[in-house]
Amino acid sequence: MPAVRLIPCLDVKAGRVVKGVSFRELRDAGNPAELAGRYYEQGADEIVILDIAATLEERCTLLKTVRAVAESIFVPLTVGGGLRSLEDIRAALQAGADKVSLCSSALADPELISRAARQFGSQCVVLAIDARKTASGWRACSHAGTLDSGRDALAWAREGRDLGAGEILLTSMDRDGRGTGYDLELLAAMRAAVDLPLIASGGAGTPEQLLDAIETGGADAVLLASMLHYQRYSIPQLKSFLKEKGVQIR
Amino acid sequence: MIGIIDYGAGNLFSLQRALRHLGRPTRLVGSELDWSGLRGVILPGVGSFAAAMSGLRQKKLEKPLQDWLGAGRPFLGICLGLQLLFSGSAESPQETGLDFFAGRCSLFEQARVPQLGWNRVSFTGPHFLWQGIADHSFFYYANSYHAPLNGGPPVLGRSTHGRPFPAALAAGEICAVQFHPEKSAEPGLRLLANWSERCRP
Repeated sequence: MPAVRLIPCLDVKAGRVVKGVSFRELRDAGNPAELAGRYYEQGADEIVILDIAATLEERCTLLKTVRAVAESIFVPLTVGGGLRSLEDIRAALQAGADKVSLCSSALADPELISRAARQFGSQCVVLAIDARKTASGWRACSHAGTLDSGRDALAWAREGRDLGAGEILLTSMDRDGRGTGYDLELLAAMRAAVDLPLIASGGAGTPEQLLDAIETGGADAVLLASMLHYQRYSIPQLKSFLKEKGVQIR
Repeated sequence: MIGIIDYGAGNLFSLQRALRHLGRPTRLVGSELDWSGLRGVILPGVGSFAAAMSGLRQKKLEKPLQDWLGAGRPFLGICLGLQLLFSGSAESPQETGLDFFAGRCSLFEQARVPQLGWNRVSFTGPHFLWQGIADHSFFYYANSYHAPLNGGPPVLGRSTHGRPFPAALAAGEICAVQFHPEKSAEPGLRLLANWSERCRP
């Protein structure tokens, strides 16, 4: 079985890494290429860059950022945010991405998943689901969490799998940036719903919580942002903690 | 000069970048005319078996590739590029592969697909590809299908995903790896450097 992956996530806005709480109150967290290079050196298993503004004018800035980041890292690079067409996806891949993460654009146009999977392979297509808890289960949200798509997050994941997505990046909107732990109930429900590689995101604050996401939530990978950006923890430190607990880690 | 076969799909940039980082010049080979002066050829692979074979045929790359393999010149297949060397694959049952090795590739059973992530490779013995790389090192995979377990060319290393499968194969200078060395950090870069050494004049 593959090792559990630790994946630093760089939320990028106007060429800078930012991080907020539940996608708001954004704070500057540094230069993307510098941070990515540091995480690669420290043993990151993969890097994710999400363009959280994703306006047209920022698209070129993003591609420039992707090029700069891709130049110095030799682990997989996933890029997401505002990729609405095969042309957008191709541009991201040509800038150096190995995979793309689709969220709002896939909710608006589910067929984009199958077109992308046919053209570039399922391993290239990550379905990102921003889930918010409601009285009737978890809903998939779009537009950086501001709109409720009306779709059930678990049903959407199954549909995405059938359309050809190769991986699920599941963010708990309720937990994002709080450091209070992943939503384990959501993770376990998703793990039971789809048998695709599952990346847990939103809420990591302590090494124990990573272990929970892997052991209780069934995650194949954990996405990390605040925990690393403000140097509360380092990747080697987290990896040795998980190794000691018997998790297979690279 | 190392040629990277470009059949119109997939991300060739990671591979070009990794070889550039190692100081090895590459050229994309996208037609039957681009083969002069090459010392080694890499067949990368992303996408489906059938799409790759039809891309190779459309661009008239299948024949020169088979001639190259037949001559036993330095070759490296990566991921789907390994699978294409076989006669066929369960991924595209109607399609014939390059047919350099006998056998068909099959889908992982009793394991999550696609296999996405880092897996250990256990070497079956010393080989020039493994020089300077520790046995049981991790390499990055992104695949749902694997090479036949028996009857194919000599296996250089195995990984386990549900069951053991060939991670790397070689017959003389014809090498192929199921993982992505260009995405596998230091061990991957070392493997590419080791292979590139075979392409020196």
